[in-house]
Amino acid sequence: MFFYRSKAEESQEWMGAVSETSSVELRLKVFHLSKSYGYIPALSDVTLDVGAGEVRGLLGPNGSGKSTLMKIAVGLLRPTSGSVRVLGVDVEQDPMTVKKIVGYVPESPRLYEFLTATEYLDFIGDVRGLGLDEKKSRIKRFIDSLDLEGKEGYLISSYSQGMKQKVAIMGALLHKPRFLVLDEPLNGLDPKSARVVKELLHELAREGVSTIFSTHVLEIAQAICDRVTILQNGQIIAEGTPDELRQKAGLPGSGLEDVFMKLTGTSGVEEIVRALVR
Amino acid sequence: MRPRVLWKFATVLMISRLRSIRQSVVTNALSGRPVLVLLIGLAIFIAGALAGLAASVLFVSASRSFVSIQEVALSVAAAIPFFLVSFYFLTGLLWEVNASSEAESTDAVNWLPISAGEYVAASSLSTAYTYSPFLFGALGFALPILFYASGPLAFLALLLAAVVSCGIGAVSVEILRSALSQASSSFNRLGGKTTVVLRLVAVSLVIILTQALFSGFLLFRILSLAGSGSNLIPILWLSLSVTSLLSGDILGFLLYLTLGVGFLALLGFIALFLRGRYWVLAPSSLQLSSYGSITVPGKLGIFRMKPISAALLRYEFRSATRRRETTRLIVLPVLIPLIMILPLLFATASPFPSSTRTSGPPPTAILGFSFFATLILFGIGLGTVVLGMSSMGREGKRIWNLCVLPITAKELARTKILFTFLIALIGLVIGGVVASFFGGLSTALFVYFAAGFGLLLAESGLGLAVGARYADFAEGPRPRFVTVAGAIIGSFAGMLVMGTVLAPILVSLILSFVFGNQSFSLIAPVLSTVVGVSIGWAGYKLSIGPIGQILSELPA
Repeated sequence: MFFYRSKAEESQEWMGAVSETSSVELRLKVFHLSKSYGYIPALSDVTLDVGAGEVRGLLGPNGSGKSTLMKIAVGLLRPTSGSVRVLGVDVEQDPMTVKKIVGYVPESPRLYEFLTATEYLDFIGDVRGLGLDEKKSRIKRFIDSLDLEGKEGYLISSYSQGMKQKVAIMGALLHKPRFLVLDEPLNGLDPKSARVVKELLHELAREGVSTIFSTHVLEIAQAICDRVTILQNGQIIAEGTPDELRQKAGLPGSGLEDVFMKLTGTSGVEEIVRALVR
Repeated sequence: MRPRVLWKFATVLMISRLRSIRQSVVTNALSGRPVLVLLIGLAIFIAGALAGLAASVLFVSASRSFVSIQEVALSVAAAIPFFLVSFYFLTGLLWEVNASSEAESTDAVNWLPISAGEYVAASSLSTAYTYSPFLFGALGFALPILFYASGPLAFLALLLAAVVSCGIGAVSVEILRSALSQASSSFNRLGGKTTVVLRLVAVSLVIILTQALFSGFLLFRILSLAGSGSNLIPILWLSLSVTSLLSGDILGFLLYLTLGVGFLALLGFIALFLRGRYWVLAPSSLQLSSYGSITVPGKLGIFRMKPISAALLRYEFRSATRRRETTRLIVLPVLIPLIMILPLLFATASPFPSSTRTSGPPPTAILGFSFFATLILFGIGLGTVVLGMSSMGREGKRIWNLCVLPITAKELARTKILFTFLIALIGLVIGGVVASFFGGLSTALFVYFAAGFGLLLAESGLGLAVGARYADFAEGPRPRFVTVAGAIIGSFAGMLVMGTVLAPILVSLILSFVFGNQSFSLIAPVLSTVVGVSIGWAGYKLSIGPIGQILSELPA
């Protein structure tokens, strides 16, 4: 794949902390994790494992705790109780190492709008310790591949939502992370770029990169994810491959949307629509 | 024009403005009630009336030896309409300069069925009403004075003139808003460095102009001009209308009042035209030369810094010079000393009558280098602590970019302090030149730079320590960057630090003046530098904890 070199090449470049953990099969281990904002619980006793090269989909209604879980996994929030280990590193104990090895795209990325895309990626590259040649070549490849060529010199403030999303994705992938945390990464992307990102995730998974990925578009989850975790009110209500979830919901052969509706207890959609049309 | 839409829209604009202040004491429920502004206005009116009554009693009792109540009434009547126009205009101007380009609250009007006329009228009404407590205060103060001096008719004339003045000020803001929208697009077409320089110069001029207009000296000069037949200045017409009435010239009153109302109508027409023409704000589409080159890691010109520190520092400079709301902050260490000297410059051409002017050389010439240097150091110190306090808060909601990167609290703290220090250093050099220009070249220049160096380090460190602990990441039309408590604590601590750093210099001055003992004067600047560096170091150490906290727990 054009974004990544071979595993042998990569292993030469990995930072010390990462090389110690590269043999860990479980890329993410969430253990009895709870998080409250004041008195409001966001996550309650969540336990979750993601293996090497796995793409894990996080599904759930709005406010179910998906983004909170992802933020804790990248060291942006501290858990109230429980623990999270990324490639064997405890996020709370050693957030700096985790930040070095993880790539993250937030739900609504607020980028440095006063920088150009090139300047933003240059900044990320420097902080992530990339050498000049590597930084140059990767920035150029990303910009070409995600159709930002010719627009990289404009301030990010003038970009559309989709273009900003592309820059955020580039920033997350620039340092060749071994674990990706993507919170609705396809928001606003045009079909071609969305396809590129989907293919990229597949390719990265083949190379051993693990991903947790949240989305509200269930077709995307079905197409990309090896396993899916459904969260509701901060708790895991179902987990497994799409087929396992269908079995669990008693809806073999159905689409993931029906499965999701059944498992989350969403009903009465037709009545709601009728009331809205009235 | 639909009055109901107009009223609703004006209310929404006013609420958005009130809530953007984000004072915790003003809850959303309270700030959502427009009547609150009226109640505050009435309270201020009563307070103003009591102050005016006290002033009337004072002037009446002292009239035999000082100045008559009629003269006071004339001055008050002339000053209030001019003050209101200036106040509304400058408040609007500062609002526009400070406004976050990402938090423009006018987006919705672009897709709602609201006409340009309704927008201009509603926005002007909202501006006029939001700041109306100042109108109430001014009228309250004038009431007893005018009542006593000339009777109720004079007060009614002032009321009329004051209301029209508020309208002129509010509509001027609308013109400014459209003009700035067009100007910023034009700026952006010019390219990177030119834009940065133009923006810095524009912001500096706006701040200096504000200070000049509110310094009092300029106001006196303009009002003295009004007395000498400058009746061609439109913003003075309403003042002239009231003073004409007080002088018994009814025809003059009607003429100037009509001219004032006509001026308001003309401004309204211009605002409408500009709003119609530049209705939708064009997103900035600035293309920088060489589209932001990819830099060599670990180098920043001559500094040869570590890659992370160099990247952070480069980002700080770009952020500060390209974001409209932060540009005003980085010019502070340079501008505050100039602003402090400004009244003295006006004083060289005294606005007071010649009988009260003292003979001899102008004040700036006799004050000397030490006076100016002290004043400038005080100003730069203040500007530096304010800039330092904004260090973390100005990241706003973009702070996640730093939180998710492998940056340590120490690295971030060092870069923030270095950035503040470097910006302030420019102010120190300019201040040295200004002090030498007005106060004459002196050997004390060495003392100035030595003490200044220590002071800037101390204030940069202190600013970050306070700014990290009391950071305000909320983004609105006017981001604040530091909480109110932080701003108060930082300002007081900043003054204290200033006194501490400059204490050895002051002691040496006292020793040399009183005892003629010069031996301490060589050690004093070194001591000041050492004290400053120590405080700066302490500030750095104190800021690491809160910054680490921010980096590990994304602020809400």
